[in-house]
Amino acid sequence: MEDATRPAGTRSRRNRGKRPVWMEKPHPLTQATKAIVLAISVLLVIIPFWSIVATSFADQQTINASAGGMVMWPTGFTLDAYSAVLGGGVVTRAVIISVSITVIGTILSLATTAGLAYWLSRPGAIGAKPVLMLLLGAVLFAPGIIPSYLVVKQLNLLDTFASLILPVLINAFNVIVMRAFFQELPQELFESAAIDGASNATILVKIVLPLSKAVLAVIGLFYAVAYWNAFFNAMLYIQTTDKWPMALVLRTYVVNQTTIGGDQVSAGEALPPQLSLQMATLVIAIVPILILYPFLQRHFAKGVMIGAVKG
Amino acid sequence: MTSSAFTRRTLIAGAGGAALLGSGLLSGCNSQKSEDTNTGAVNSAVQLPTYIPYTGLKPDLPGTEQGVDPAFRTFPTDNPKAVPEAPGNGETVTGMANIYFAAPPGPGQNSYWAGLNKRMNIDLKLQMVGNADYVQKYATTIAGNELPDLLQTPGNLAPNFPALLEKRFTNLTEHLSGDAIKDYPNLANVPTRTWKSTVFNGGIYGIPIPRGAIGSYHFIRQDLFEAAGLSPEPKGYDELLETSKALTDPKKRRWAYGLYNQPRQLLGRMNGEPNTWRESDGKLTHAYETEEYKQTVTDMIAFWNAGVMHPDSFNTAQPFKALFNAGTVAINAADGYPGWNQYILDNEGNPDFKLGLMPAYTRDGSKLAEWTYGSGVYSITTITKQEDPERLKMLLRVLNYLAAPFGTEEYLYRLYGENGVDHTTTEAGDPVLTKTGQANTVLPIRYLADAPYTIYQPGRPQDADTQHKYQSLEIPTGIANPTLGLFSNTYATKNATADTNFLNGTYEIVQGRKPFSDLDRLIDTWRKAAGDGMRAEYEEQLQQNGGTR
Repeated sequence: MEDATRPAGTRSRRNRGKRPVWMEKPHPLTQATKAIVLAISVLLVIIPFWSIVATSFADQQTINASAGGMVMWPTGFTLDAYSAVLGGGVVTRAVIISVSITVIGTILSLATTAGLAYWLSRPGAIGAKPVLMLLLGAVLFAPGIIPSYLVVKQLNLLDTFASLILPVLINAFNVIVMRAFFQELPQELFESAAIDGASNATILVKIVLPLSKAVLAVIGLFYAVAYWNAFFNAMLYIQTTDKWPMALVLRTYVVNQTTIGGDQVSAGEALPPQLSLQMATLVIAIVPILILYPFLQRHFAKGVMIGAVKG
Repeated sequence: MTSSAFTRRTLIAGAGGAALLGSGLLSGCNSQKSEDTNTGAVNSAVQLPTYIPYTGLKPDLPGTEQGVDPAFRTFPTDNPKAVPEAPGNGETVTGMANIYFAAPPGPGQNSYWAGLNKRMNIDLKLQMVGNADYVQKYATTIAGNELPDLLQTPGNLAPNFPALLEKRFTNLTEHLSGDAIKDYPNLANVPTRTWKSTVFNGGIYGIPIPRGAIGSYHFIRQDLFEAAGLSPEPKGYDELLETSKALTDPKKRRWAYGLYNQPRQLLGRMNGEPNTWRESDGKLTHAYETEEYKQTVTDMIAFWNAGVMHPDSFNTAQPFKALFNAGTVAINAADGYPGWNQYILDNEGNPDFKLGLMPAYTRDGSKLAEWTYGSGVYSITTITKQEDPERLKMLLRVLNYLAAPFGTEEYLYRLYGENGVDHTTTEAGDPVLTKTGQANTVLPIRYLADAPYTIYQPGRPQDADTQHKYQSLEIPTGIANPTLGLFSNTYATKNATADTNFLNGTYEIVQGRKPFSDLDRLIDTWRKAAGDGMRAEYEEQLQQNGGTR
């Protein structure tokens, strides 16, 4: 036989020629390697998560026993950290504020972004070019903190919830991504709708938006996450602590207590044990996003790709 | 167009405010501008407030004029009133200060806050800002000219600070200088040394938030020392190194020191470094430029090579408190002195934990080393320009109320709130915050005005003796920073970066990545970047002062 006289390597090369290389059954060793690499990657994500959750339930003794570091298995189980964070009524109020801002802000942002993106995506729309340039400029040159503060102040928005939404209502990058998506839609749809007498608004609401659920979901998630996590504007613009959103309240727990020199703490003032408190805070902060994500996940990959390939 | 509308003119006016803060950062060319009114000559002419210590309560262990803090073993059971009548007149008072805690509920849901308002007869509106964000918030608040009545000014002063003070804040000299302060007896109880930091442009521009002269403690885990059979008072360099080695066992995850800066300060004292600057005949030498500092770096190399420092020592964000609580690190050498409260509280559930304080000896171990005092202030509180002089007096009365001394009725309420609601009292008479109290009482009013520090550890009378004894030992050996209370614009604008670069350079040397000879180059770079500028500005003011104040 011909094959028997040939070296093994040549034979397999010939076999491979029969069908594409990616359809061949992989070598067990390759599969094992893949499994190990994947397992390691998964563990690299899971272990820190687990450690955060475990530490948030640990008492001070357990933390001390692990040399002051993160806990892998909470032997001393306590809910103290959670009751410290959630007690006092401040967090409950902040959650309501944050949820409202996130919901209202995301709806307003999506509406304005979609409207603007639709205008900019229509060929020959009047004035679209300069506005697009302005948007691109805003991506490159973000305004400084103090000018932004002055604008908010002069518009009498200090210490209002509007100051948490209006300055960040439209994100230029999101507009550009959405515009790219709208441009991908078949032009014939627009033309036939126009022949049937649809106005631009009708086209946007009845045709464009229903076809753009993927990009709306992704941009909506971007906006929602941004509104939920935003603390900096609140820190600058909100003067009454009763109006603080969740992110700012949580920030005081996490950041404030990391590197305090004792000299700074006043007489009689003592801080609660830090590490478990910080980890409980982290858990509370990521839960809403974890809940939201599965519902949007199926749109996510598609929506992100639009932005990636065309921009 | 309404008056609130956004006009070009208002933006420019606001930007002017921003320029006050920003110009020093943006360009070095006008950095001398602020020196015109803030000269050593006019500042040294200011008569500081008369110091009239509060005598209504007798501490168990008295403080000293030099800076040993008074100590109480238990909370006084008799709490006299220090302010006979409510300071306010029902008006709204606004303030802004930093906060280390989760923000407390507002006055509507916070019985403590409502009670405080009632007691002071004001409607206190507080802006609270997490301490990590305070500098940024401060800058925007100044730039936007949206100033509260009472504003906490952070310890690291803004560029062109004297000019800013003159433009926006009240000169309090006529109300506080000399005997005038007798109208505000609780403010008169604030030690003279801390008032130096409030003098600018030839006037008193704020209220100091006083801190103990001791500044820091050399904390040790006495239980670990005892377990290893070591003396908690190693004398001299050799004994210290031997003790450090005995405390170290990397296999058990135990080291003598955590943060790099802590043994560096301990060795700095041991080697006789100056307190930041050394003054002689009007000439200033920075600690970095001294032979003593070189000796410290040499010692640090030896410590690092001996393995007595935690491997993560060069990470400035190292959780050194957690490591100390866990016993991973046995010597927390140079942490702020109120850390005592924190460590005791953190380790309530740990029966083995025993906190101790280690004295610093000279290199040869023959006597105590010179102690380097802390700045003595946490921050200063400035008062915005007021149109009505009566209102200014009311604000000062409010600050006077908030500065009520330890043990008074006002102090008890300010820190512990209402008995039965915010705190309960133990049999020994120590107030203990309830859950409600923990959430409600953390208003940052203690950063608007505060009583001088008093040693007191609830439920642990012996701690008062330990700390008082340590302070009585170290305070008499202390040296002060000769530039304390002087303003240098170079410091405000350039020192932070230059200092970080210098320290990062020394980290490389200590870890053996750069040769020791590199230190001279580092010093030279630091001098050119900030050191010589600061020196010139400080020396000029010292000369006009006729020596250190």
